Amino acid sequence: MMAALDLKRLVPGHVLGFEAYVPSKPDAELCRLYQVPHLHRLNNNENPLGPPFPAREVLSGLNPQIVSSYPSGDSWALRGKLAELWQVERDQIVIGNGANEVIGFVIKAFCGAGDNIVTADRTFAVAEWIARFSGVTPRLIPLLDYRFDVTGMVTAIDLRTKVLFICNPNNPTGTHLTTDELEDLLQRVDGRAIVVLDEAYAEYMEVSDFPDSRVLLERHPNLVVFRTFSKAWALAGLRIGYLVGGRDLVDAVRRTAIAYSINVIAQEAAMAALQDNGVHLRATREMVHSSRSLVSIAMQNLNVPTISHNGNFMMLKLPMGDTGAHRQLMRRGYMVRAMSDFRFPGWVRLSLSTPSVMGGFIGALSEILPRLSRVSEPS
Amino acid sequence: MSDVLMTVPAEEAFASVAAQAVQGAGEAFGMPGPIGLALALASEEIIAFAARCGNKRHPVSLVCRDGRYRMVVELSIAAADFEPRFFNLPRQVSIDNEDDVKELGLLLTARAVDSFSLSVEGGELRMVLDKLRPYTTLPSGPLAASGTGAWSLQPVTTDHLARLCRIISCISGTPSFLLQPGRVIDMVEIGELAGCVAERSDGSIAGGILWAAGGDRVIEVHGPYLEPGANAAAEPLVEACLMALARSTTVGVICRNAGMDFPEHLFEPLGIHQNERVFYRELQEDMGALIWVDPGIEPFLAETYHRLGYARQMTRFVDNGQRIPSHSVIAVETLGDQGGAVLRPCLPGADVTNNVTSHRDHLAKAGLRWMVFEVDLGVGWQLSFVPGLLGSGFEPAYIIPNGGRGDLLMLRWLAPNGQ
Repeated sequence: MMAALDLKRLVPGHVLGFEAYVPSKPDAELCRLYQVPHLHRLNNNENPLGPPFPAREVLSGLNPQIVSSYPSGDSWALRGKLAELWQVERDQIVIGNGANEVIGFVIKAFCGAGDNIVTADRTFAVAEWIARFSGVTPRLIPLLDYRFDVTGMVTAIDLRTKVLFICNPNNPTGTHLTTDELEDLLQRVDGRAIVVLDEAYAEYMEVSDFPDSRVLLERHPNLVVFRTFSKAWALAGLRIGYLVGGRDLVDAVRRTAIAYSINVIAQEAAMAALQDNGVHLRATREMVHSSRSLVSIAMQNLNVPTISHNGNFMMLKLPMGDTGAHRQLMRRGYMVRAMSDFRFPGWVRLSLSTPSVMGGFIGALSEILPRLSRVSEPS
Repeated sequence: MSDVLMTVPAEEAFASVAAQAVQGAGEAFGMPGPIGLALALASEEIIAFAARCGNKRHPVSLVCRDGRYRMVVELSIAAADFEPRFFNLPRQVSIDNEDDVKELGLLLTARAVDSFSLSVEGGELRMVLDKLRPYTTLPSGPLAASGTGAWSLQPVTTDHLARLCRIISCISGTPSFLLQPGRVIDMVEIGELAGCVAERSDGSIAGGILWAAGGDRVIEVHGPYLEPGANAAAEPLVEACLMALARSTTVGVICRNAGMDFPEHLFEPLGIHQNERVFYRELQEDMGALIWVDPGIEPFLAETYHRLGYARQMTRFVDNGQRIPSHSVIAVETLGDQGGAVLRPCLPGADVTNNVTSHRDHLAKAGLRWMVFEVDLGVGWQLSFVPGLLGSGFEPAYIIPNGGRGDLLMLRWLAPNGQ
């Protein structure tokens, strides 16, 4: 008989101590368990309108034969198209299997054991997770009034700080750093660390003081910008995102990037999505506007505080545990994100979907508010 | 924390060698003499016991641990060639000469220490003995506000703890260990307890909350405990605790001693533990699960899951006629200072009903007033204990969602009034 596997010796401590993220079960399984005929996923900030028309056309016309060959190993054509849009060189762009993968590329490229990254305590968690299971220390700076604290982040930098991660607009609060604030941060960092600007929700921004990252990239060689096709572009199921930055910085990142990780369908669909003439993004923004307005009024009537700024989501502060509310809403066919794990206990994040779905959600929430407020006791 | 490790043959002649080492370790840890002595005698008893009922070729491993507020001795014995059933707590074994050992039992050992747990894991029988260092207990008194003005939340420091314990001492129904500031400070310093206080600008504190910091899946929270007029701090203190535990291995927090300032609306009521209500707050989304059930507990579980909104697919555990060992094994953790015990199934066997009854009778005879039997609903064979438990007067009390491989069902037995 073979000897038992000594995982305590084989697995590094920072991996052993890490709690794996467990994604939700497939819809069909959840519908069966929660005994609901349909589940509205309002937890991942997806776009219910679906992909832009050009991408739909490409997807519906795909020849199955194309999947028998490897895709372009570095998404050559897509990088070329993005380079045109960003007015940069092709080699200033790296495509990833979702923006999560490019977060990993950057941490691997710049951080070693004993290094640290600086980010906020209540923001998109993936940079913190990747840092932790890579043996890199995440320094988590508390949000100030639900916004990134520029001074706190700059003050946290030391000689072992390699990367600052800023989610702009911030997920889950929707707050953003303005052009002036970001310029101030970059000046104060003064090239001592890489600054990552995660702009997953940039397509939803309609405020005039939102930074133009193309302009910032020209001035700051330590800046790298992340974008995704999963949110406004509605290609979440294909997993595709990218980063753009200065040539030298991107050259370092490319050394840790996995070639061939983007499948051929994702590359084709993303290329096509970029052909959209603005109709898709306009419709998406209009839907988000209508739904935000509908939910905001309803929450006011229900006396439920909200944090609602930018992006296709908003936060609701419930008068009970968020995880309990999550279960009760699941029982009614609505899946929101319970935010305890984002360090927002008592809050849920709601993805803004179509007004009709929002109407159903408001009804379901209305049902559970009095129900949970009167916390039923065991009989 | 310091550890002293040693290995001795499972022979009676070596039992006293181990005992001397345990006592010496206690002295080296700076423990009061009676602590080392009690653990030394208990360890000697266990090794002698192992020598009489086991294979002498197997060594006994001992680890003496300086837990600052307690001394811990862990004894491990390879289970191979061993009859695990001999380690069922009530059993009074007789291997060679019944007269020599008829008064012996691990139960006696368990009663000599503050906590004793026995389990079978990974081919090892493991016993953990625990003896607490004595501390001064604060007298209770009237509770008055020590300051006024705004407060801010701060991670608890040793400077805060004496003041927080003073507040706690004035509140009835709190766990007894929280009335011992020295012990609480020691527990925080070794990382077994963490907390947060609402501190005023003048350094006084309006209240605080403490929680176990061991990284368990479900951890116990104590508080919030507040001065009069500081009720507004209750919810922020609970939220500070939940934020501190976010993105960790902890999936939920449980409170078994909710005081008058406890914000019940932030928690879900699970049931009754000994006599106290149990509240739970989950930290991660629950996505549904499959669990094993026995018909005797199915109505209780159906009602509980419906009330809490958990999606659980119940599958009845059935005896398919496969061969099972003749003798089951039950792990016992006696909690001397609380007058009770927690029992957990270790191995299934044909004698589960008798074994459960035997444990109940022996522990009740030893003066324990309550027992809780934990059944992991994610482990099918553990359900084989349920009929015996229900027949022995245990009743389903509450579940701890995701507390084990699946949900933990807590079946409770309380001594009849007057006992």
